[in-house]
Amino acid sequence: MGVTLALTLTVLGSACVYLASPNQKWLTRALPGRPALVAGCLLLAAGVAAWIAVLQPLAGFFVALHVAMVCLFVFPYSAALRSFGRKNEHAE
Amino acid sequence: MIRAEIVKHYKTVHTWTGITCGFALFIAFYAGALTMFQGPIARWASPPAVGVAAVSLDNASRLLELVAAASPQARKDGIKLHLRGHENEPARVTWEEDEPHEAGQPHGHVHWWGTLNPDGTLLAKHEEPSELAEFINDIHMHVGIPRPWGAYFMGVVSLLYGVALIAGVIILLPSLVKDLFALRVGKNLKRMWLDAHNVVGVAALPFHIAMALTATALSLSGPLWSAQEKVIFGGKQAILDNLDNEPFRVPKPTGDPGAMMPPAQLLQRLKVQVPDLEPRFLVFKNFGDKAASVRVPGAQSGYVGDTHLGGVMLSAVTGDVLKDASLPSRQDPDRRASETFYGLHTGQYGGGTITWAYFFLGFSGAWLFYSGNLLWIETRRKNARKGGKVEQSRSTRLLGSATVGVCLGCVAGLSLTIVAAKWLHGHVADLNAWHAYIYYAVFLGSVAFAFALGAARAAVQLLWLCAVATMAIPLTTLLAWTLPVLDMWAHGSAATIGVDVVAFIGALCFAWMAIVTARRVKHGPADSIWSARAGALSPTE
Repeated sequence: MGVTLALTLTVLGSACVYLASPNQKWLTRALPGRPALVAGCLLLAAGVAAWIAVLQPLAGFFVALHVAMVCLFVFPYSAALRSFGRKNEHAE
Repeated sequence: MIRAEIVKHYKTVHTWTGITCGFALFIAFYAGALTMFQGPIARWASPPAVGVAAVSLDNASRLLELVAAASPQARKDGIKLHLRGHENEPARVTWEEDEPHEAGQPHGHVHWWGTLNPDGTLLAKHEEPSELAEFINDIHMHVGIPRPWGAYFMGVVSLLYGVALIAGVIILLPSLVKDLFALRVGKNLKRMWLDAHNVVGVAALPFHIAMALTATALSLSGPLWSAQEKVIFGGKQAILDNLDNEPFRVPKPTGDPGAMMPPAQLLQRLKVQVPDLEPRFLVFKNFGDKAASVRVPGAQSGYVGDTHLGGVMLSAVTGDVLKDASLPSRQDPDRRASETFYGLHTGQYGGGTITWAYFFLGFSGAWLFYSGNLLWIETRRKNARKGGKVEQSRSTRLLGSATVGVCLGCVAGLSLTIVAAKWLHGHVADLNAWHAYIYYAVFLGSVAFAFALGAARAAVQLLWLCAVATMAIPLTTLLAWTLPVLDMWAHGSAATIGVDVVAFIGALCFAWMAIVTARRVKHGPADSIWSARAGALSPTE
């Protein structure tokens, strides 16, 4: 339960940070920059706190950091793969 | 604002450190990602044996007595009692004995497992365990270069990797905010590869910094210790080593017999004294002696650090904790710091979440070096003007071939050597040596193939080889399950099925990459080393 909550908060926080970027490709328009970024940071902070509650402080911090890192490169790649697939469909 | 001239200098540094170290780092990261599942791979590759369940924990005392009586060396050096029932634990107890050797000379070990016959006597069998997982880890650490040179080489490579990271960050600083998370898929291939490279490099920067630092320290620890001994400690380092080894030093045997506490009771005593320790196995030393001890390695949840060394030592007679200084919660601050440093490299904390995170980050690292090379090639591509023919430079073609051969050769080699664990078991005398033969044959063959055919043609065929070799992992399990006549095995645990499922998904990814690459080779820009059409040069031209 604790791990699921911590993971969800970290993934959601990373998604908010990504969606706040003008370079995001998930939505036709990026979320309003500052509020989305603040929400993302708050969710990430809550994620860190939740991981620390499940593990020890140092391990909790590092797990949150690594999960966020994975999310922050997987999100742009997932969007790029989608647009790559669409381009191939149009080409065919 | 950083001056353009400075950025240009750092670009040169980043490019050349990346190009020179990229191949070794690709291998280290790809094999490292697999090493995150070292346990499940070892379990997948281990043939079925009698297993832990053949002797209950209640009957384990009798088995330990018989082994201690049969093997004085095992009694002294340690008898391992397994607890978890994993497939790579062939029986309730295992032990090692020295191979015949001259005193003081390096030597190998013979591995034994033991169980109880129905009549209560000892059944001992000599069987070498699969070292497939250790081989993959060795490729990760030394990229196939013999020790100790492989470690020194990777130490220098890791150091240069750190330099490349710093230079890369400085290059990106002027456009960091503007281009953050940008991955533009379009006709501008250089832009696309640059974005693909930067997204991974920036998002996973803390991971890469940690890897560069820890890999340098781990690879060069031997020479660093020697240098410290000469420059700082002046011959007194042995005192520190002595302190370090203290938690693992067993009490001297008294020669007086003692009644051993049954393992089930020992575990109960452990639970009371160290409730949060998850024991991996028990190692009994000097079994039957009044001063017999039990080492219990294991993990304490939540601590960053190595679970192989951490743990406690109990008295085998009373079950009392004798030593607990290697327990994460009891370690000295300096030991805790070094364990944390090591743990950050190996990802041994936070359970399955961190294992999967490191697995994906490991692959992303391999991709970072692969895409870096592709970017270098794309940047140097000479464009055809007004339909005229264009000749790509020799260096571009050679790097293209090397990138394809080394990277895909490593992938195919590792997949095929994993598959060989089941197909060759029982058919060759030394399966562990065959793992190396197969990997190096496929790896070197792929490199030669890439140079012979050129990057474009070789990339498609080697990607198909990777797809087929990786798909062979779950297919082998499926065949073992459906055709018992093949004399292979298909374990049913979640961990081993997980290996098959991940390999299946990986094979589909390689097949998709092969299809996309084939399309580019056929229809992509002809003025590219990735084209096999007229206008692009084959490497023999």
